[in-house]
Amino acid sequence: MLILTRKSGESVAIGNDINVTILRVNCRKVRIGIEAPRHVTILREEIYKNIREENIQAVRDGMHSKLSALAQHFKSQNSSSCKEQVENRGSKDEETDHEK
Amino acid sequence: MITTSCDARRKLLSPVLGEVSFRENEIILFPEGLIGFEEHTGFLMVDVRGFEPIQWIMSVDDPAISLPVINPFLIHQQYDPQPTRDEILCIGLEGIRQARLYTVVTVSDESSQVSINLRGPILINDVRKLGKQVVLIHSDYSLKYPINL
Repeated sequence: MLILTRKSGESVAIGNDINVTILRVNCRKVRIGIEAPRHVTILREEIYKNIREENIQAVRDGMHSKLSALAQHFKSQNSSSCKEQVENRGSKDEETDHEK
Repeated sequence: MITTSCDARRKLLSPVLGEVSFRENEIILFPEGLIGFEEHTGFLMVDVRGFEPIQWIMSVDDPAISLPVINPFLIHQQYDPQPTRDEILCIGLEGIRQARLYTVVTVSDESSQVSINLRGPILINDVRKLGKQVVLIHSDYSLKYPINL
């Protein structure tokens, strides 16, 4: 792992097109700004890790009896009440800002 | 009758789902795989009698990799995932409404609670047979949205 020391306001360039800037540092948190091409996925690592764990759990479930119970649940519920419509509802991650 | 190679049926034996018969043209390409299973790029949607509306998304390379999935709108009618434009474009679609959407179903080891992962839905372009699992970054949808049975 490459380890660098940076001050608030300073940046690190990764390749030609990725720039990471330290915006603010206080005692326990660091706020960083990332500039990268749009096709580059940037995620908080724990989110990606959690989704990976969910997928692995799903493979482990196989044909769990609870899945059969879920199918039965829908049969008894009768699918007529289910609508496949998406309403627009803006939800935004509180901690994520997009600054130009 | 002319039979093309796409019409030829193939069979795979899954330790989870048993024998699965399919046509080559039913294989959905996930260029980046599924999260955690990046090396698997070809998947099939498998129905299992008695388990509808649950389906399994099964790797063609390793049929042991089979994840139960469900249409999220059956559980959360107001679900409104907003993947980025690039994520939609990369499976050849113009908008989220054209995508077929699935969410992964899990059963907790400890509590047997059934839940769906609304944070990482699977998007499929059914016409071009292209898929992608996205991570919704502009939302706080639950990874374990509970379904009460």
